[in-house]
This record gives sequence, C-alpha cells and structure tokens, in this order.
Amino acid sequence: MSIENTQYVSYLVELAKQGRRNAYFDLCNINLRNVFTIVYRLLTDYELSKKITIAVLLFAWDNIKSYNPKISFALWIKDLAVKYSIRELEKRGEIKLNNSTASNNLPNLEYQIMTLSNEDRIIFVLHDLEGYNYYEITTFLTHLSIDEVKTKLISTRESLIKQFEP
Amino acid sequence: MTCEEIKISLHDYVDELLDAKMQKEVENHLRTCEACFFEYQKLKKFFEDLQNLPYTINPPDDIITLISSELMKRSAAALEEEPVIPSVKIRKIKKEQLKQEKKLRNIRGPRRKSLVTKSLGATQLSKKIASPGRLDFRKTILTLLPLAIIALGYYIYDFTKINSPWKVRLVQGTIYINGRIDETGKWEEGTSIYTESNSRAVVSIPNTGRLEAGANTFLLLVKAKDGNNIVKMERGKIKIENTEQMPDFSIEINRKTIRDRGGVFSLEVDDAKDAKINVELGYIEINRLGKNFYVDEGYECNMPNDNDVGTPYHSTAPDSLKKLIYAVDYLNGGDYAIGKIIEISTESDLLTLLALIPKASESYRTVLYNKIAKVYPPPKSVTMEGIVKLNEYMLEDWWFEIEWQI
Repeated sequence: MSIENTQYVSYLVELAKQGRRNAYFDLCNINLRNVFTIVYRLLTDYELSKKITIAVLLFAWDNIKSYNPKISFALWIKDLAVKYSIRELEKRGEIKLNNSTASNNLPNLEYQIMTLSNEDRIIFVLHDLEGYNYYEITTFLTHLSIDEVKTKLISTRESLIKQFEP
Repeated sequence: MTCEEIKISLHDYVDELLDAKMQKEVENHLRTCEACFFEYQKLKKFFEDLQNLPYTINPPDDIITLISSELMKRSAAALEEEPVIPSVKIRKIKKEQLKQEKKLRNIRGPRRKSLVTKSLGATQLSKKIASPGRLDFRKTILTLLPLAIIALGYYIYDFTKINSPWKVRLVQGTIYINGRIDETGKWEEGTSIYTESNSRAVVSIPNTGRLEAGANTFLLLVKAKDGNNIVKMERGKIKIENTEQMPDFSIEINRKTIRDRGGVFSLEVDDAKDAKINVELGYIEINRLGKNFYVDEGYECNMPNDNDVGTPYHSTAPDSLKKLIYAVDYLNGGDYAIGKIIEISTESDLLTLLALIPKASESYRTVLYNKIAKVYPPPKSVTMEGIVKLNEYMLEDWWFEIEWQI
C-alpha cells in the first residue's frame, strides 16, 4: 500500500516534529475517522475503541520524531492503530459483542463481521476492508504464514457468504 | 481445471492475483460451468455488499476534546505556551480529511473496485450461460417483487429528503412568489421568486446557509432536496453566505452550474444574461459542458451568456490586467496578451496565471509554470511536463495546493 502525503500534511508533520501541538491536533482531526474506524472494526467495542484511538494518537505524538515521511502519515498512524488493537485483543482474548446502541445500529454484514473470532476478523478487516495484502498481514500476525492467512480469509469469506444465503 | 480447483482460484480471481493465463482459464471455465458461475456470482454479490458498508464510522463526539486535553497535560512541561484549540482552518482540515479518505479508499483493495465497476464481464458470462426457456410467471413475479419493494423503499426515502418550502423573509419592498405578492414567506419547489426594484429578501437554504436576493432578481427553485438543492437564476443579484462547511447547493445560469463549496460569494446576472461572480470567502466550482473551473476567495470571474467561463482575476487586479484577460478570453489575444499579463502580474494573480495555462501556447505554458512554481512549488504529484501537456488532474492538484496556501 502506498500513498503520498499532501503538501499540507507534510507541512503539518514538520511543525508537529518541532513540537507544535496545534499542527499535530490538525493531523489528529484529519486522520481521526480513519483511525477510529479501523480500531472499532478490530476491537468491536465502541468505548474501548475510543480509549485505544486516543492512546494511538498520543503514542504517535510522543513518537512523531521517529516518523519517516517516506510512507504517508495516514498509513503510519493506521499501522500503529492496527498494532495497538491487536495487542489489546491479545490481552483481552475473545471479545463478546455487547448490545450497545452502537452495535445495534450496525448493518447486518458489519455485525456479522464483528462476531467473527479475533483472528478471522483481523485478517478479514485488514484484507477486505482496509486493503492490506497477505504479506503485510503476516507482519502484524507474525505467528501465521502467508498461506495460513489466505486459507483463513477464504474460509471466513465463505462462512459469511453462507450466512447471507437465502 | 476441476471445479474444486476453480472454487479456490475464484478468490484469487476476484482479488486479481492470477496471471493472465490462469485468469483466462478461470473465465473459460465459468463460461461453461453453471455451478462454478453460481459460486462466482455469490462471491461477487458478497463484495458488492461489502462495498456498501460505510467507509468510515463516526467516532464519539467527545474524543477530540479528550485528545486535546491529554495533549495539553503531556505538554505542560514544555516551554511554549501554545494553547491547544481547534484550528481556525476548519474548512482546510475538512477538505484534507476528504482527500485523505479518497486516497485511502483508492488503495482499499483493487478487488472491490474492479468487481463493482468492471464487473469482470459478468453480463457477457451470464449471457452465454443463460438458456432460453418459457416465461414462468410465478418466477417473474417473485423476481420483480423485491425490485418493486426496493423501488417503493427508495421512493419513500427520496420523499423524506424534500426540504421545501424554504423560508423567505422580506427585508424591504415587495416580493412575488410564483407571480403573486407573497404573504406566506414560503418558497416551494418548482415556483419562482421575484423582487421588485428597491426590494430585498433573504431565503434560508436548508443545510447550506442564507441567500440574499437584491432588487429585480428572478429565481426559480428547481430542486429542494437534502443533498440536491438547485436554484436557477434568470437575472438580478444574489449573495450566498454559508453556515455549513459542506453545503449542498448549486445555482444554474445559462448552461453553467455554480456549485457552492462553502464560504461567501455573490453573483450578478444582467438582462443580457451575462454573469459575474465574486468570491469573498472559500471557493466555488463552476461547471460548463462537463468541465470544472474554480474561483478562489478574493477572485472574480466573468461568465458571458453562452460563452466560455472567463479567467478568474483578483478583485484588486488593475484594469489593465482585466482588459488583457478579456482579450485572451474573448478577443483572441493569445500569447501576446498572455506575455503582457505575465509581465504585470503580481503574487496575488498566480491563480489567474494557472488558469491561463490551458489558453497559452506550449512555450508560454512553460513560462507560466516557472513563474507560479517560484512562489508555490507544485506538489510531488505535479510535473512540468504534465502541466505543459494540460493534465487536468495535475492542474487541479496544483490549484488546490495554491488555494490553501493563499
């Protein structure tokens, strides 16, 4: 996956690296929806996702100097969000979908994705919703090989398709 | 290939991971095997459903305040006293959010894009497989019923988006709605509004802001729906002031459509239907015959009746510059006039120079490129070659890069 920073984002990053909080705050605003979405789709818990999103954005602020502009800021921060979320899932084990208003209002397919097991969901969300390739997914799930990721994805897709068969 | 092998390869096929030979093999198999084609259709339908999921999910409202206060706490030890407040450049941030989402969406996995847009020639495949048979009325009704329900659902949904009548407030004088002196203060879709001389009225545009109509203004409310509000302007003077960051409002004048992109702008149309636009804040987009033109804040632009959209010029530009621009736009002024414009233009005229590039010869395009690039270097995605060859995306990208800096 590769996209470039716009000139405006590069400018904000430079200011943020110099310690300008307002510039970093603007970067947060620009990327907030994308970061929250991936965290929520991985963690399936609205409140927890809020907490993790904040943690990711603060971690990125603390480490902004290590950001290499060769990759886009949006992807860098998204990768951080994925790593943080996977670590949280490893700590908590399988998360039971609660009946909060947020999950009650989800489209049916989105709801079914959220009921997948942690590992199946991570692979499915990263590949089919976020556009990560098999190799990139193995860098997050280091205990799996590319073939294993692929097999799991196919079986997840088939199980989801089955659930929506008339 | 056996059906079992095809079933596994189908996933690589929709992910576009097969080489050309394998891809052809799968396609040939799908043309002859109904069972596998059925599997392919199921997979395709699944990706269409996936495509319909919202791209992003709204974060909780208080999250940005929490981030801000956390940032404050962390920086308490820092020497600077810079307060963390939401930037005043909200419009810029919003635009950047959209840009970022667009970019990420483009890399969201090629399979979803190709499946939904190209459909992998599925119609051709199904055509070859479908066998002619007798018309089964029961089946036909069962097939059409869901479509009818969807159509009805869409009709109801569409109906809920109607936002007319719009509220009208008379400021002075007399206004007519659909030819009658107005006493209701309501403007319905499909009706007109006319202000007499020395009259003035203010209209509230839902999800957009306010429209102020000056004397002798004639307007027609073409569409009044959330997401699609259109007013046709015949003559007069109006001023639009947006209160929403993402307005959904357009004005039609003589085969030109002006799309409101937020901010404040005024528009004047005379009896000869020649129009002039002046953007005070934000920017607007003009569409004529499928082409887009942008006018940024601080700029004006002429739109003669049944003619091309003129080159935008800065409101403070001297008359000599305006005359030269008019010569380029409508009197075949060509490179001679463009050369003169380059000579007398200042930093505030750089968007004018950018808009002149498509009207200049190749050698003058290079001169224009260099003059603009000195002040606003183009973004990485823009090259001199692309600009000289009039690559529309590059011209647009550069325009937006300059716009936010201005």
